[in-house]
Amino acid sequence: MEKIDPIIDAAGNQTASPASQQHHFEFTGNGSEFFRIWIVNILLTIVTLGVYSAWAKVRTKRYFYGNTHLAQSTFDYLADPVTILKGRLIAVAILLVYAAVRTINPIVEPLFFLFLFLLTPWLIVRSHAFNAINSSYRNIRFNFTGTTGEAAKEYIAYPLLILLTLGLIIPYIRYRQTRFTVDNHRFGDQYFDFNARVKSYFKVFGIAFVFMFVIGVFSAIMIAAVAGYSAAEAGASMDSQSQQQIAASMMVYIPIIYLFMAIIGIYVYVALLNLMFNGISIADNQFKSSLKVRSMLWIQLTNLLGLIITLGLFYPWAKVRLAKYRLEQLSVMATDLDSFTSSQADQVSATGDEIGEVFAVDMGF
Amino acid sequence: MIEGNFFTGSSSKRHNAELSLANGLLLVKDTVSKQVLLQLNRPTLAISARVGNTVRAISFDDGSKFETLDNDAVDTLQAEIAPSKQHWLYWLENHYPIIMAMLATIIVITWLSIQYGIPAGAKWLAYKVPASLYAGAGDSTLKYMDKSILNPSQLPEQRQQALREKFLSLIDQSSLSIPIRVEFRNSELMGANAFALPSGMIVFTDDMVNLSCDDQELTAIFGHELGHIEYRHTVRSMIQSSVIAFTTVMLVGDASFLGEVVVGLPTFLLEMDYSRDFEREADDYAYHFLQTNNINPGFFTSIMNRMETVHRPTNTASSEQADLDRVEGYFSSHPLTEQRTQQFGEAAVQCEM
Repeated sequence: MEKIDPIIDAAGNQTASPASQQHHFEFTGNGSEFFRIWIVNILLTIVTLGVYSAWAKVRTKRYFYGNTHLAQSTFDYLADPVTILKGRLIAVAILLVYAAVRTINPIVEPLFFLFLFLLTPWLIVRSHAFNAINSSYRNIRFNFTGTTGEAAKEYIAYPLLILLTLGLIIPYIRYRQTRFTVDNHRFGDQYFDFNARVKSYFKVFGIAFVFMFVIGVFSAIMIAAVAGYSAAEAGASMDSQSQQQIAASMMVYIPIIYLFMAIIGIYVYVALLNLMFNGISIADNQFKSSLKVRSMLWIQLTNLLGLIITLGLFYPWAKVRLAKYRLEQLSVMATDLDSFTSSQADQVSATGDEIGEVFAVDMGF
Repeated sequence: MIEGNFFTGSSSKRHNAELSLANGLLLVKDTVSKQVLLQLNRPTLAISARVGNTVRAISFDDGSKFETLDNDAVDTLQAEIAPSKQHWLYWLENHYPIIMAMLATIIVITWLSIQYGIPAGAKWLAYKVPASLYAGAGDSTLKYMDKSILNPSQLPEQRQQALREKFLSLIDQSSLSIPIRVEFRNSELMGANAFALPSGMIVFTDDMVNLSCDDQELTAIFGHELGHIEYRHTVRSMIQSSVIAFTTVMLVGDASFLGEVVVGLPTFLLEMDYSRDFEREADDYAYHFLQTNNINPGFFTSIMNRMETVHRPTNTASSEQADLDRVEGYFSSHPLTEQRTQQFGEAAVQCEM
């Protein structure tokens, strides 16, 4: 179940206090088992006209939490499907109203997104709270105590500065949002602490920007080359052969550019996950995440290919592969996992979480 | 006896423990020290439902919890003391013939929904929206397009008015649910084209008008656009793509970081498929429209053929090109011209551009 690694690395640097042990997360789910759960979930959801989807969600979450091991114990998801169902009904109602109104008057669309944008802080807080309060480890629940006001500052006020600063503030905003998320999470009565450095966020976005710039220049050169080629042909009307050559060269360049964009996307995704987890500690227990861009790219691209080839039936394997990789690169340098104590917690409505899910608001945690 | 972990609920300390139940007395003992951690007489137990082979939790009234990987032992215990809850789900999930039958059912239902259910539902819903609402809508779309890709028409005002009167004289406004209006715009980007807005607005581009060599050809196009409005195609396509995007997100949305592709691809392909169906419907409408007005349907063929020549200047007649066209058909919003013009018969006029 558990690997215990020496706490002193090759360079002789002591990475934690002498009493600490490295506990690796482990994921024991497998694709074919989850496939069967998924199929039953879908069929029952269809038969019940969607009502079962709340129970399906709980069952799926329980499968993933229950297969996540840390230090000889697993996680548990405790949400009540009825609460989730209520949230979903509200979310669907909002979606239907929006769809109906959009059909009649397209002008409503931006207004609706403005409304959703202003609602985002509340959704984020509700979603984190609902998820946290319904997650437990070793019979101790998590909790989230961030307020909508604080969230509004991080997700609306600061982002308003993006245009003013020509985007230079983005890494700092991302840092603050992650800090808000982590610092307000609690396990039992202990708060998590976020200790990543702002500098690291600037580095990640800086690298991504440089690569984007290189790709931009590369595409510009390609376009110029094609345009120049066309110009050379001008005078005589373009014959079909030269057109086909241009089309053929574009068929090569466009996928290459897409691949580079995917690599940058994965780099940012992986780097931000690593930065977040490496910055999380709780009561002298430090998290460590060592995701690699190359492995993640491989998993994501093969998942994508699998989903396309199987028309979506690969989904359970894709989800399991991703969870397995993400969790197995995660560990805790733990001094003491036995001394957390519980705290009185209130029940939280599921509405925020569900509205967020329907409109795919990125929760990032 | 079941081996597992015991957690008090007040602290995160893990106790290696064993649970036993005999004569209504439940005991949880520390595996090593044999110290009794919990003792309950005729307890009420909440046993979590089995999900695959994940850890099973038995929760007690005092908030403490016993967790074990020995699912079979828990199933036995559950059979003895409490009616099993949700165990039929686990049973379903572990019978391959049932899973295969369910999978087949899902595939058939998905296919039927895409083929019939979603289009029929969207159609029903689109006709439920009162026609008066359509009339008000859509003008904002034209205003937006006027600001971006459309310019005022260069055609003489008399020419515009003549065409407008000709088209409108052919229809009986009182029999249509949405009042029809005709406009002309110039657009380099759109080339020779015509489109219909759900509000009943039909817009011809200048290039379209200039491309025709007989006004009856424009009447044929008018008939086609009229079909789009009468059949509520814009609204139906909006409903259809929303439903498909929503379902895809729900089913496989979170499998990949490259989620937009996962959601976008089926939405796009099905949208194109539905769009081709709509074009066929509008073509049929145009055919009957021309017949009722005693106009040779061949005018549709001639204008469509000419549009294709304009849009595809290099007309290599090789079979390779034809194959390419056929493949392209699946990714295109309109059916192939050859198929579309079949029912309309031979081209009515030939003219040099």
